[in-house]
Amino acid sequence: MQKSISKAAITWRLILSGFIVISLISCEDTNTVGGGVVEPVDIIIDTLYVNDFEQQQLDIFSGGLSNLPMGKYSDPLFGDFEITGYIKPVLLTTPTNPLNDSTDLKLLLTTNLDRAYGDTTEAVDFSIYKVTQRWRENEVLATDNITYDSGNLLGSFTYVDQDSIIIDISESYLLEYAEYVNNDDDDRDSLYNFEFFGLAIVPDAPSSQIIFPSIIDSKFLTIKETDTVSVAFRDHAFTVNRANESVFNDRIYLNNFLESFYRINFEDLANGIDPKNILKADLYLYEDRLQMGNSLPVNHTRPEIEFLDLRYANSQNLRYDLQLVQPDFVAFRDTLDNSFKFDITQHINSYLFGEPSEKEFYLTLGVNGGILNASTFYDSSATTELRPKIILTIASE
Amino acid sequence: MTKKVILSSVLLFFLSIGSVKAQNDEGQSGTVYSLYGSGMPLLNNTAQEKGMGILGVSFTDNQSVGLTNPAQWGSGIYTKIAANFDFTNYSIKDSLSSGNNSLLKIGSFQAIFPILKNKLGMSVALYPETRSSYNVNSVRTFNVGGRTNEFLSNRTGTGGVTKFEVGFGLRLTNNISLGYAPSYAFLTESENETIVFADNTIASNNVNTRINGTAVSHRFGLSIGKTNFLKADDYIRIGGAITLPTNFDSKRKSETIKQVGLQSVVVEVGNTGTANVGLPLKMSGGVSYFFNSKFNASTEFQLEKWDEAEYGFSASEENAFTNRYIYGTGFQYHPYRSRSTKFFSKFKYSAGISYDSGHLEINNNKIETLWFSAGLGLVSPDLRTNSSFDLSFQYGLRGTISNSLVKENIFAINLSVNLTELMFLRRKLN
Repeated sequence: MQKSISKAAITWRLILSGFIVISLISCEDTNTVGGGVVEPVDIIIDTLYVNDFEQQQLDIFSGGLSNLPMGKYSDPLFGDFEITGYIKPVLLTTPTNPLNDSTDLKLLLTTNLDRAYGDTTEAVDFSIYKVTQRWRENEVLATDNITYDSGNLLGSFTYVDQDSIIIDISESYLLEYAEYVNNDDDDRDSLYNFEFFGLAIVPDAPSSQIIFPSIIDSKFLTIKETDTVSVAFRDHAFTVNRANESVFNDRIYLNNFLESFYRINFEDLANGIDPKNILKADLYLYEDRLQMGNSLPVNHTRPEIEFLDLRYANSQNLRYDLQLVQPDFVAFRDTLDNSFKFDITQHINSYLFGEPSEKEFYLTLGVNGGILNASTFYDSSATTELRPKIILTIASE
Repeated sequence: MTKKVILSSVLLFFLSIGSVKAQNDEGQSGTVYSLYGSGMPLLNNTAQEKGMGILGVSFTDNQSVGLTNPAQWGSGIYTKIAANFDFTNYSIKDSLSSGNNSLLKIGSFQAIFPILKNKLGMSVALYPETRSSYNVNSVRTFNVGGRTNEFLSNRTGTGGVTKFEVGFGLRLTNNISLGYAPSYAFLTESENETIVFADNTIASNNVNTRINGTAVSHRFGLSIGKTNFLKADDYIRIGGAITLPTNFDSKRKSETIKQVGLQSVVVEVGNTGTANVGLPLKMSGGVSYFFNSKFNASTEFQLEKWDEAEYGFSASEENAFTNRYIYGTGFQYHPYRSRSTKFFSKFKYSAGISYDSGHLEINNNKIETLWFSAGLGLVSPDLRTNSSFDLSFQYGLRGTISNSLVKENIFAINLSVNLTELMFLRRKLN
């Protein structure tokens, strides 16, 4: 009997072990069975139309940008732009072999052909004059007026769809520059700062293109016999004269020289949001590509915009912040529908779960290194598909 | 030996508490139908009763402990302690796909102390009344901004109603016993809803919803037994039990993590609030007939009035409730009582079949289950105790794949560990 009991005990131990082993090795697979019983989380899309765009106007600091726009173009959509460039060479260290009348001074301008604005088939003439007033590149505004001596032509060139051009600068200007370079007195730098004002590159009429030479690839050259020295720009800036500016009554007009930008506020919209589990809140703006394209004559081109900026309006120095501080939100073009989409989820959540520290935004086109950008976007008068809107992606509750 | 029993009971009790807590933590999942209400209502019958396909309302023996009928706790002179362990595998299928879920849990813990030998007994028990345990993935699409986006939704639910019960069974006469078992019931449900998007510019989202509530529950039992009913060595027992409706004042809270400004904060979303959650009136009855010491059979039923149960957090879930009927019948054979020395005579054997109409009607389909059961038991060879192990095997067919529902082929193994010992009694002979 004792033997049989032992057998039974062993059997039970085996059964218990089997129970534990089965429990441990049993595993469940990842499957999608049961979706008809346990309904998945529902995703709800809600659309809030943004109506209140308050137009603002300012201008930019035009000095020190990575490109130097110059030229003249009458844009059928945006009006007339006349842009004058200003450059001043760095003061070279005093050379052992002084600059003199046997030295040539030239200006090399390198442009990017993809960045032309206007009629790319026509020649554009520019004249170069001596600037007659002191200017500093980090203070120049695009709307400033910098005087130059238009009665004394120091050089000229014609630009026709080329990626670089070398321009002869007059000997008189070279000799004037040489005085400061050859001077080894202690005050040579301050004399140069206060007395030598650089050159103005002025588009001649008629002219129908704005070009954008790259600063990093453009320079002065001093050439003496076989010795060529590159002379970078100490200062560079530009000024813009505008005429025939368009007024857009049913479009949002953005100009990256801050001629037009907008102040917006989503507080009323956000406070009306009821379901709170917002997974995404995107602000959509739709570019009016039709009007932009149709307004350009054949062979005319306009720099494309690639992104929009949105910044909290908390600035003490608005011009500086709009131009030089990184935006809080950036929207890139969706080529499918030419929309620009800002992800403002965090901002909307700050209304739903607290009080945002900042409520106002500035909508701008980025300065883009001096490349002139302008565009129009559909406003609240457009069809519902094209209106500015916030699309909420919400998890059902 | 008494010390061993006490130590074992303490161990089993804490294992049971761990099990209740683990309802919220376990990674495995059970039936998808446990989404509804506070979960699938459970039968807390022992492995032996499961093996017979019955509820246990009319069945009792000296080797095991039964939770189903409080009236049975007054009989006997042994202190009995039991814990039940369940492993269930669900082979699931709907009209689109198939898969497997599995669930391992400690079911219930119960200790019965004979206050007055063969007269008055006290039961202390901790057991789950309902259980939510599901883990369902779904792939869906939605359109936004002219684009179609795909996302994976996962809903994982755990929890249910657990009762801590202290009850009494009183043997009024040799044939009639009564029982009363009040309990403190606590409802704890937790659901995680997770969404992951194919478009990684949309952050994934997880919402945790918790429902908590407490209530006091009452149940009563009646048991009538008669020896020499039809013949000299037979015995018949008729049992009935009733559990009164239980209502929880429950609170729901849904939270998720949101990036607000520069900080990630836990925020409340959804419908936080209170509502009534109810468990219905439950009535059961049955008859067990012991032909002789080696063979017995039982037939039992149970009615749960889910039509009247509330689930205030979801009208659609409440509307799916329908009255539940359970019928079970089975038999048991005890060759070990013959004192045979043969190996297969050391066990008790049982088998049965039961039908459960289910408490849900979804998309015009009742979620019915048909169970086939078999059991095996081993009684301790030590004649001074009646301790036993019981193992049952169940195979169930539940649901349908029509109307977007799920068909489940269920395989369950249940183990009851019954420790039975004379306690607080000095033996005259050893």
